[in-house]
Amino acid sequence: MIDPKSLLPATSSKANILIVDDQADGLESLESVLRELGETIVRASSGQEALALALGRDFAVILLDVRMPEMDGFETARYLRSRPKTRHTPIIFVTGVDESALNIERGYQVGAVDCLFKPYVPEVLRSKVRFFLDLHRKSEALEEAKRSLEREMVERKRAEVERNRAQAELLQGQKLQAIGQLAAGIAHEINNPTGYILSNLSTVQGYLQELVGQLEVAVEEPSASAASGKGTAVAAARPRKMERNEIRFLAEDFKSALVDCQTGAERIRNIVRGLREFVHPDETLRRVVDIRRLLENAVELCSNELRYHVTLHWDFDDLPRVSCLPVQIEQIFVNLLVNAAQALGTSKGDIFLSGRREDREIVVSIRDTGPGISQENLSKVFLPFFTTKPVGKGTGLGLHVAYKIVQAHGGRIEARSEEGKGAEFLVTLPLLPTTPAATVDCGKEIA
Amino acid sequence: MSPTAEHPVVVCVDDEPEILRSLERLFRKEPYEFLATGKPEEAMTWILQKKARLVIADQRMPGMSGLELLEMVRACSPSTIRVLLSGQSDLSGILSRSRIEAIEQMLRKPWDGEALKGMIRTLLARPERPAGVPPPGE
Repeated sequence: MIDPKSLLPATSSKANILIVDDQADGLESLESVLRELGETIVRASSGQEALALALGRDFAVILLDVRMPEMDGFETARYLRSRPKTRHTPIIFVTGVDESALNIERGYQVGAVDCLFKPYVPEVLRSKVRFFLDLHRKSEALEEAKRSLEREMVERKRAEVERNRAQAELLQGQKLQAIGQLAAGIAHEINNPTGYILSNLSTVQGYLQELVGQLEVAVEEPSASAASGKGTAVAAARPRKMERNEIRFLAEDFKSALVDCQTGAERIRNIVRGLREFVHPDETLRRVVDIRRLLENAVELCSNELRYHVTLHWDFDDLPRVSCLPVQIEQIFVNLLVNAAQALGTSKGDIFLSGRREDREIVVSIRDTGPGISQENLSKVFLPFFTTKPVGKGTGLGLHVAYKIVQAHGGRIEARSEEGKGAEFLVTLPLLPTTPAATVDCGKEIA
Repeated sequence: MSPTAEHPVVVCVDDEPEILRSLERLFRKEPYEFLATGKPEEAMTWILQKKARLVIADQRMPGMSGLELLEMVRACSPSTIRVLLSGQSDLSGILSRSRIEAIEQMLRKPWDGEALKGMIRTLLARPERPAGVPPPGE
């Protein structure tokens, strides 16, 4: 008979002990000995019943009578060992002293961990069972520790993904702000060439008409002069015959207008290309690039902020190419150039751009001749949301993002300044060890 | 050719030579003498020496903004009609109330060729204020 209570799951603090014997008094005596351990004792009166119970719930230890009809203790043990759920559950054989040594050996072979001879000393039985209960509790604690560790790992992974996403958003957000600041300037840079391209195109249409008119005059000339008597009415409708130098001027200026159109269209193309590369958000591949080219691109994007009052001074050594995320590095340069231009205000000033190799690093310096940064502020410039610019002019994220980007590249960014003498920002990027992989250009060039 | 009401002088200043050339082409057959320069100082000299009827100045130039130049023109040669040329999409930043009087006409880049020619002709057809009489609002 199965005790209905034994089918309920045990309370978490109590362990389950399965006792198996076909004799009711055998079960009775085992239970009376084990009762004082305070655990849940579950009875089974046959091997089959024991198997059914053991597959349904966890047992800390199974006490198994060897001699049972139908399915004896050996067979039951073999079945228990063959199931994953009970493969490691300790089995103690309970057997008579008359049992041959051969049978005991067989018992260990099928998976018993211990053997107890009847009649047993109650204290010995309890102590054996207690040992397996301890083992069970420890392994459960270990299991729980493992599960909680796994949960923590999952949580950490999730937090890291979240952090990376937030970082990417910060980066992209700041980039869009930078573009926002440059937008008016970029519109101006596009409006200028568009102005003269459209104007020239409408002008050259007029030129074309005039030149075609002259062609017609030239073609009709011989017949017109031959039939001079009746040509007056026709001549009035025909265009005036131009002087040779007038035609020459039209042809020359036609060409010059088209050259200007081409120059203008190329300027627009370069600005738009720079913009498109700059705002592209999914940059994950490092490329080996010429760092000076990145700075030149940044200057192109900022040209409206720089062109009118700033004189740029380039001083770049012949530098090896650097493996980096080029758009991110360009973003830093745009930030630094806009800052430098804003520091100079509307007064005329200079920005010095230099690039040096120092040992295994490349150092790019952007220095302006503006009012500089006070010692107090110098220590704060890379902090998020720190800004000295008026509301709407800066969010205080530019240099912070620059700091993050350079850090992710394994480099450094430093600010140096003396008040009244301008500010200098140094971006240091590591050169990779010269391996074949590092010297091969693995991506397309930045145009 | 001496500047007269029949053949007035128009001065244009912009730091981009392509812009100047495109305007020279556009105005080639117009009934005025069109003088183009990239230097605001030269423009100022021409305006005074040749008694220009009209000046077109680009806003963004190195050294001096178009608005600054037009303010000078307003002070030194009040009868010269002042047109500001600008590629900026938002002018709210530069056009304060006091400065807006220096401009009589705004011209945005990109411009429409025919409309621009028409605008200049209309402005030139305006009766010239006698010298010494300040324009209204001064």
